[in-house]
Amino acid sequence: MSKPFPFSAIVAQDDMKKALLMAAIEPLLGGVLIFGDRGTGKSTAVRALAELLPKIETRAGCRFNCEPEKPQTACPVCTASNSHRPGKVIKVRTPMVDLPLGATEDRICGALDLEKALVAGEKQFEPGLLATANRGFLYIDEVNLLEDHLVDLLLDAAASGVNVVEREGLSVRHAARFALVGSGNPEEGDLRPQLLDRFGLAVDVKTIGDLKQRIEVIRRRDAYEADPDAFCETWARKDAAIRRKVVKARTILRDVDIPDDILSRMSLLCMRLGIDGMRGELTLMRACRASAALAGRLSVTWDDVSEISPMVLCHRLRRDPLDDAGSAPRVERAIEAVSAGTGHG
Amino acid sequence: MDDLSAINTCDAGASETQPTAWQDAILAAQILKAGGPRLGGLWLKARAGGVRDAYLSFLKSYLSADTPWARMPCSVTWSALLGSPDFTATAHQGRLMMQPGLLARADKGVLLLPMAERLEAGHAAVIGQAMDTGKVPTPSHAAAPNAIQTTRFMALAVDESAGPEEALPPILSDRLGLIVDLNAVPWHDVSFPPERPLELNTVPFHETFIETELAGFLAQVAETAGNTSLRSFQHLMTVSRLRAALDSRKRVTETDALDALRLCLALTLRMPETAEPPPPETRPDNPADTSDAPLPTASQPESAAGEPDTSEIINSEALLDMLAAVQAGTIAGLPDIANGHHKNPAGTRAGKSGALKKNARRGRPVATSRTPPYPDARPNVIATLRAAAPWQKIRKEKRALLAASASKDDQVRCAPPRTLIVRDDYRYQRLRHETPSTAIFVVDASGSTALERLGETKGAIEQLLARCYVRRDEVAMIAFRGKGADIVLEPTRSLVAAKRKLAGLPGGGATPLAAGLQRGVEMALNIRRQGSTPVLVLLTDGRGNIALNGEANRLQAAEELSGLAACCRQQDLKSICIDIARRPRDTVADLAESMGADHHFLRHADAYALSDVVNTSLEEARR
Repeated sequence: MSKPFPFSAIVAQDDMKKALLMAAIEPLLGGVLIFGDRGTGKSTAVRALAELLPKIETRAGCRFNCEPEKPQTACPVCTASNSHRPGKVIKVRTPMVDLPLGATEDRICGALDLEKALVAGEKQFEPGLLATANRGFLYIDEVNLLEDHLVDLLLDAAASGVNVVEREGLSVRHAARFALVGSGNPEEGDLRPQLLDRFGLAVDVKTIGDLKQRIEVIRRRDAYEADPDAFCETWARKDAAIRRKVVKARTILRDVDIPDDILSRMSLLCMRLGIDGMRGELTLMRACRASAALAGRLSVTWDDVSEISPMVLCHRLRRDPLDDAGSAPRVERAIEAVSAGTGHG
Repeated sequence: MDDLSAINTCDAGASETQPTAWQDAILAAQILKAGGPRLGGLWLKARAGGVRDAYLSFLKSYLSADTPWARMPCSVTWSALLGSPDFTATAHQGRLMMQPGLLARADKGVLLLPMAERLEAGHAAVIGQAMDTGKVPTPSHAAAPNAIQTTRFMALAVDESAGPEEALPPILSDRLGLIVDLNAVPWHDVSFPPERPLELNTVPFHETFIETELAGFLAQVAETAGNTSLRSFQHLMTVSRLRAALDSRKRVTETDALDALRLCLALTLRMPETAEPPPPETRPDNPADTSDAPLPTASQPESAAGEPDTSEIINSEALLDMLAAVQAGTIAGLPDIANGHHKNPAGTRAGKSGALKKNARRGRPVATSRTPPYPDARPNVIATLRAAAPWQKIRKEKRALLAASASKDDQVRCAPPRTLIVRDDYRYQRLRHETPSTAIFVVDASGSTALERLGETKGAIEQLLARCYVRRDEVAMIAFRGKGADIVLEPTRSLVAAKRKLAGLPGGGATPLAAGLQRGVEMALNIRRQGSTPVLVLLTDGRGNIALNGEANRLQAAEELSGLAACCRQQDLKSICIDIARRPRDTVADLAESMGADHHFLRHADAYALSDVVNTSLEEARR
């Protein structure tokens, strides 16, 4: 298969690109929701991301993406037993699993391997998409059209990081730590609040209004379609630069420091916006760290906060379903108020 | 000027005048063949009929005989679309074998989607995903060794929609590059191009180029026409370049751009008053075009295309005309795309009859059954084995007996399986799921209420919307005023859409109460047919004065109203009648009585009570 469109060749849409990179740096953020108009490169960006990210280590033949040092009991390849040694350690691309809308429950969670059960009479677990997405991304295009019973499954697994299968006489647990990436168009229908809350970051993408940029998009797309490999080659250096930034950010992420006064202002911001629970604040903190790390800095500044907070907080505001203005202005006002308030005090 | 002569050779016969819709359709076929899957496909707007059949068979033969041509039935199952285990082959091979689904079979060919307006959004999304990635998604099985993974196909969506309520799912329409409308094509326009010619295009696609100004112009027109998607802009560019390549030119000219606008966005200038006399084929005369909405045959912008010397100038004028017309909104185009008012596909889901969702895919497990509750259902393994268990001894004996009698002539005997499972043993899990309800608001927006209570009513509806949203119910809205009733909002869960429509709801005019109720009942019955439970909420002050035919005739209006109310009662529709007049009126009470509806009165500043009432009814309707 030809390579996906290079990440660095995507014109504009900086918010979306930044959010995706942040999610790649900090897996604890809990994924990205991209909502917006059609044909704005949502899927392109997500698919490009996996290509860009550094490879992960696992063992050959492992279908659960186990870390070589931490084999899971569910995985027959990685657990050494008397009869066989674990597989070789190899590097694979960061998993980016497309969850198709028509997916069945069996396919997502994994189920009894019917083939083995009926042909060989063995009871063996056939891992599903959640296992494949472990340590990577699970991408749901048109997430608002996903059927509710599938959403329930995802929420459960995403919240706990573990997939538990109890069915057909099977009892399997395996890790399912993945960043959820969803995209969709709000006109098609809203997302359930529970699912909305689960995404760490939410960005709104608008179609590009600038004429020059629009033409540039088409030109690049055309060049890509004419010769994908050559096109990827020309952008490979820029992609590599971003990859290096991500790798570096991952290493310094834990050392990024948040000054106390910024932390207290963050809390103030969340309080002012009346955000329920601590998840918002926690995510804001993590997102700011990721943002600073992405910029290569070791401390978070207030500018980080004011830049990041709309995508962290907008979808968490208690929703006044009839407020048409949207929540972005509310967040912006609150940020202004908080920055002004501390400026005086 | 050689541009023009090139066109002359290509569209022989159409050079002097605006190409007819049929000629455009032929051109679209040529471009589709040249462009292939990169154009996504063709959106064919045509009702069933001779013209459509002729076009489809032309397209099929034109795309060369060995092009795969997969037809997707409207009620396709996921396994048929995406591939499923091939049981016979699996049994033979002793390992899992897949048979390719429709998407894989359409590879390098055409996926024909008849009745595309009835396509479910989920299916459309999967098709779109396959078009984007060039791969068949595998939702139900991990990839089997022989599964076909890659696919590049052109989608041919045949859209038979009859009115604004029906439309192609936007997920799909956004990805289809070409639009052909055959609805207004008379039979005598149908003629096929000679077999030979159009293969002589020698200019490969990648050598064609489009100048930045022209690209900018295309972007501007597309955007002004409300088509902001970058996909459609890309299609515009591709089509105009293909158009040039068809004429063996490298540079894209203005004519190509105009052709592309017509083929991709169905944008055509309306016939100017000073146009030439209509061509020999009798087409509807010029000024009439302004009233018919999407007539793609509308007109040739260049009124004097015959003069070769000035073609360059005239063409750019035509472009400017086009831009001006788009900006002014006086263009025959695609109203639904232009307004961005995509209706919710939930309203037109391929409706199966039956009001109760017994065979749900989710919900509480209630029992196991022998028949699959829905196609593709997976058998419950434990229950199946349990059902087979008691018979094992008998079956083994029977099998041994049969084997003994057949062993003489049958050399290759396979080892007996551990368990003998026959078709009758299969058990499927049944699930029960509560069906959703849909609240249909029929709102009186006439002058009599507009003055006093429309604002308040809107407030009450907003609260109800919010509560419906919480419970994941759908809402729909019909407003009546002036001469008739309009569906303001198709059944939707999207609060965004509902709010927007409600805020922009105008008031004033007479009260066509009967028309409003009629639309409401129609919609309620439709919703019930689709398996959801409708609740009709009629908000009016009861002073209906316009009959169904739009005449101001109180007597006739009242008669029609009572007929409709009786119909409503007969159908046993759950309904609520809310009086929004300043003082309670007998007329509304009588109407409620004859409808069999609950009657309530909206007190001033008491919207909460109203929303409670409707909420309770919705809860009741679920039972």
